[in-house]
Formats: sequence, C-alpha cells, structure tokens
Amino acid sequence: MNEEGGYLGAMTYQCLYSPVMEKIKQQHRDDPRASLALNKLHTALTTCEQASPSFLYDFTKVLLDDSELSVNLQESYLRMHDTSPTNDLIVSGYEQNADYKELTKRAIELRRVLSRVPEEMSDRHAFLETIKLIASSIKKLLEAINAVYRIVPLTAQPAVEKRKREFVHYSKRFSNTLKTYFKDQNANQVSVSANQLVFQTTMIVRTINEKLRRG
Amino acid sequence: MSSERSGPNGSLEDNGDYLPLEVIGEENSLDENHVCEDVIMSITNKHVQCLARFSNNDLLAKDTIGQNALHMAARVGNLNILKYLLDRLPELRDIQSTNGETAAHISAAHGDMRALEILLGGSLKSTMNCAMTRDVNGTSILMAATARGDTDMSIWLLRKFGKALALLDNNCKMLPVHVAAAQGNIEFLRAAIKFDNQMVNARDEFGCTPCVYAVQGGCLGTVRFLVEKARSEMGSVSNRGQSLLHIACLCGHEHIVRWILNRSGSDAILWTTNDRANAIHCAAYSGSVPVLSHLLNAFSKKKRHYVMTLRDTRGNTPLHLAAMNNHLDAALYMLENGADPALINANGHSPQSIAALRHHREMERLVAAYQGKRRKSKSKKKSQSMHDLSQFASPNPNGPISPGGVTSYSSNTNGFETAERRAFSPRELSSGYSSNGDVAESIKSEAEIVRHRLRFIEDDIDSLRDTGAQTEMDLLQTHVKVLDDKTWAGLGLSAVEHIDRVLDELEFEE
Repeated sequence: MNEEGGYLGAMTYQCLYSPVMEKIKQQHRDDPRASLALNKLHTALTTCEQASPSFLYDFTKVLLDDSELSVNLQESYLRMHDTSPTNDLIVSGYEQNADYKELTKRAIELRRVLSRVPEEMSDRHAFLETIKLIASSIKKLLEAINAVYRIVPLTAQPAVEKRKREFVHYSKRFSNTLKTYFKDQNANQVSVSANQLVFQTTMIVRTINEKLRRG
Repeated sequence: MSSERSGPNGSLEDNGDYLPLEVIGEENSLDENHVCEDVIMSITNKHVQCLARFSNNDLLAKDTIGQNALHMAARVGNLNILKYLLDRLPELRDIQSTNGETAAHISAAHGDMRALEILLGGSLKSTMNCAMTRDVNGTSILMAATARGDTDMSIWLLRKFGKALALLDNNCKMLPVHVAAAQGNIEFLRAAIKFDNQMVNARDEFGCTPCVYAVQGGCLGTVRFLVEKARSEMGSVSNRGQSLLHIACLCGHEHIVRWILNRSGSDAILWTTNDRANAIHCAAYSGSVPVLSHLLNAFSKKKRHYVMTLRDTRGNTPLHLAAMNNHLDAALYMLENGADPALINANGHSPQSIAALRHHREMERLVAAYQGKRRKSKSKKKSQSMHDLSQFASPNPNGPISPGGVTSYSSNTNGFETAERRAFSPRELSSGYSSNGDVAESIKSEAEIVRHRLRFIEDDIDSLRDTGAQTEMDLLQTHVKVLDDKTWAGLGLSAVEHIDRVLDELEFEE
C-alpha cells in the first residue's frame, strides 16, 4: 500500500461514497425495498473499508480508469471534503460535552477551509486571506485538542498526545509546501499536503473515539 | 329603450351595466349610439363604456395566439381599461397566452411601469402567482425587465417579490443576475444579491456564472464588483472548460485580460479548455494584438517561442487560428515574437496552407515571407510590430519591410468596421430574453455585442488603446492593486508565516 493509498484510501468512504449514499437514500426515501438494499450496500462498504482500508480507493481508481475521465484525484478529494458528511468528526456518546463539541466544531471548520484551497488558488487576494484563515483554524483546533487532553481518561492521554504531534508535523509540512508553492507554483503538492492534513484532523477524532469506547 | 341594446350574441341575459361609477363621468362625450363591434375594438379604441356591454365570457375569450382582453389592454397600455378589467375579472391576471405570457409579461416587455403597477400592485397573496409565471422560454417578468435594461422596474419587482422571483431561472437556467451582468447593470446586481449572495455563483445550462457574462459583455466594473465585493468565484470554468481568462481573450477585452492576469497571476495563461486551448489560442482566434501582447509579455523570449508551439486537440497552434480567421496583425505580431510558421496541425495543414484554403491571400503571403527565416542573434534589434504599425500605410504586396518600417497588413484602412457576430455573444449562449415578438428587435439591438476590428492608435498616454472596448476607459493603474509575481510571492510567504507562528507558539508552550 503506497502512501497515497494510505491517507486518501482512509478517507474514500467518507469523502466519496458517503455523500452519494446519502443522496440516493434521499431520492428513494419512500421505497422500502430500496432502503433495505441501500442499507445492505452501506454495511458491505463499511465492512470492506474496515477489513481492507485501501480497497475502496483502488476500486475507485479502477472505475475512473474505465470512465476515461482525467481527474486530478488529490484536488478532487480536497474539493469534496467541503460537502462530505461530518458524522466522522463527532465524538460518539459525548456530543453534549462542551470540550468535545468544540473539538468537533474546529475539526469541521479546518476541513472546510482546507477544501477551499484549490478554488482560492486562482484568486491571489482570496488565497492570501485563506492562508490566514487556515492558520487561525489550526490554532483553534490545537487549543481544542489541549482542552480535550485534560479531560480524557489517563490511559488515553498518550495516544492523544501522539496524535497531536502528528498533526503538528503535517501542519509544518503543509506550511513548507506553501512556501515552495510561492516559488515554483506546484499546485498539486499543495493539494497533497492539504489532504494529509485533513487526514490527520480526522485521525485525532477517530483516536479519541476509539480510546473512549474502550475505556 | 334599454331592451333594444343587446350584445353581439343577441342574448338579453348577458346584457348588464358593469360600468364602475368613477368611470362614467370620463366618457361624457361618447356618442350614445356608438357601439364597438368586439372586445378588441373596444380596447384599441380605449372605450371603457363599450367594454361594459360585453359578457365575462367575451372578456375571457382568447384570440388565435391565446391572448385575452387583459393581454390586449396591457399591449395598448391603457390604465383605465386595465383597472376596469381587473376589477371585473381579477382572474384575468394569471391567464397565460399560447406562448405562456401573462399580461404582466407584456407590460414588462414594453417597459410600461404604470401598467405593471396596476397589474401587480395589489396584495402579495393575489399577485405572487402572476409574478412567478414564466413563459414558454422560462422567461419571468423580472427577466424581461432586466433584459430591457429597465432598472427601475427590475428593482421595484425585486423589492415586492424578493428572493423567490430573483431565483426564478429560465429554460437555460439563467437567472436575472446573468442578464444584468451581461449588461453591466451593477445597480441591479447589488440589489439582487442582497437576497441571496450565492446567486453570484449560479450556473446556467452552459456552466456560465454571471461573472462570465460580465466578461463577455466587456464590463470590467461589473466583473470587479462581482469578484471583489460579491465574492464571485474567479476560478470557475464553463462546461467547455473555459475560464474567465479564456473568455476575455476570445472577446478581445484587453482591459479585462489585464485585470485577470493581475488578479490570478500569469500561470493562468497556460490553463487549457476541454479542447486544450490556452489563453493564447483564444487571443489568436479573436485576433486581438493588445491581448496577445499582455499574454506574451509574461514570458521570456525563449519561452514565448515555446508557448506558441502548444497545440489544441486539433493540433492547431495559435498561428493556425490566426490564419484561419485572417487576423493579419495578430499573425504578424506572433511571427515577430517567435511563432514557428512551419508547424503542421492534425489535419496536415500549416498556417500558410490554411490561409490558402480559405483564400486569405494576404495572410498567405505574410506567413510565406516568414517561412524560410531563421531566428538570428541580431533579432533583438528587430522592431516590435505594435510600435511600428502605421494606421494609414498602404499594403505592401511584396511582404514586410524588415527590420524597420513594418506596415499594417489589414486590407481595410477606412477605420472601424463591424465584423460578423461571434459564437460567444451572450445572446447565442442563451435562449433569448423574451419571446415577445414586438420587443425582440429592440432587445436584440441592446443585447448584441458589436465587434470592431482593432486599430492601434498612438497617443501620448496609452498606446494601443482600444477605443471600442468600452465607452469610458478604465485606467487600471490608478484603480487596481497590482500584484506582480515578486510581490505575490512575498505576500504569500508572509501569510504562511501565520501558520508557522501558530506552530512555534505551541512548541514554546511545551
């Protein structure tokens, strides 16, 4: 499994398939048989994703190859984060806790502002503003992580701390990629590091969910 | 005496005095024995008293194109008759003709504000249905008013019917804001987007946003309003993959091209459409030398040669496209800047053979003159065509005089002439703004873009100024914040420092 399959693969269901599934469910709301079939498909896809994290990603690439569309996957994933469902960023069972709620809110915000990067690159003034928004969003998310760190069980704290460091690492990588972009205009690398940062954002919430469930 | 007065159908039961009291006095001079033969005559003669003698069924009756009494009254524009008909039969308001028009459509198409106020001035509950009616082309009354450029009527309709009417699209998914953008109507745009700012990113059937229409219309002020104040997305592309820059180049709007390049940066020049045409292809196709000048100035001399070898899906270089459309000045400019006349497209044609196929003799000679030339180290001394073009020089049948004294190869030295309309005219992109035949002529004259062949006018301030681009020249230097590449990189790095500062603070805390 290559690196690209790693972080894009982990986000494939949430980013690509989940919005489509929800749309189909809405369209066939009144059809009991369709609902049953869709639930089966949903179960199969999620089971598949858990068993083999990059299966959906490889499956998607095969579909794209057969469709003969020329799609920039990195940029497309990034754009689609804007409209993907946000249930994966909720801390299950603790929705009413203020600190967990703040974490969810900040994670959603960062994902959305990063998804605007491909669009804003075409407008220099707006892109400068978006970079500042990203900085502000990262700061608020880190503050939310610190608040959560203080209230999770002791056994969960090392995992949260590790996840936070990964997030900081990829934030620095994103920052360096932007600096390089202003010199050589390589937009695709910016999409890559932005996607990695979105993935780390998702992983923070996922890790907290796992620790709270076991603890 | 009264029993002798019967309607055309001869039935006594339908005879009745429907005349409102306030109208009786106005018809004192009317001959007591006069009777209009039918409803149409009563309306065209503006005889309310005669109209009172007809039955409700007569008023509801439709002619061959499905118009009833109220449609005719709206067309004539007589306020008294409109009031009388609405008082007597309010349901006339919502009835549509064969092409889907209500009386309000006709008033809007004629620009009759007072008639429209009578038709739609009542309570929202009674008039909303009529206001939201669309004709067979999906044209609403707001679309019709906006298409006429009647801002007062448009804004009156907006204030009364609000967001619902503003978001009512036509069969091509155009909103009134698309039409207003094409006309440069900032006042309407400002009023409309107060209801829903997302209108500025609405796409029609062709994937075009209002900003695209503003670019096509050549309205830089509107483009800037949409992008800078209304936050319209600059990077959106149409269904054919055309960005704002492609469209500005196709239309030859030099001032808009300049603004887009300052705003988006010069890397936008090499973006391609679905046909793999970049901005230089588009500029060559439309033959605009000022636009080509801005585009090519973004590249070094070596790279200019390279970018002019890029091909679209049919294998055409920019020079092929200029030869196709017989743009002599553009071809000359590109040849002098390193375009290779020997390249062959997918059909096996060079620019010269294309010119021959299309019987563009002068173009053929021009390209042939550069065919055998090699680029020399002394080419730096070669003059730039845009500086040496002479407005009044006669064409030289033997080819260009080089390196100095280059003459214009245009066959027309009489000044501006109207070229044939191009496919990117907003009118051809949509179904038309109104299906009302009477107004089609005036609407067409307003909406159509008149193309002028460019002439390069040397003056003290702005050489190469295109006086046909817009009525009032917008000097970008004094209004637009210019972000050149160096400044852009500096500001970008400063912005990224914000991220670094956040991460550094974190490390300090630890």
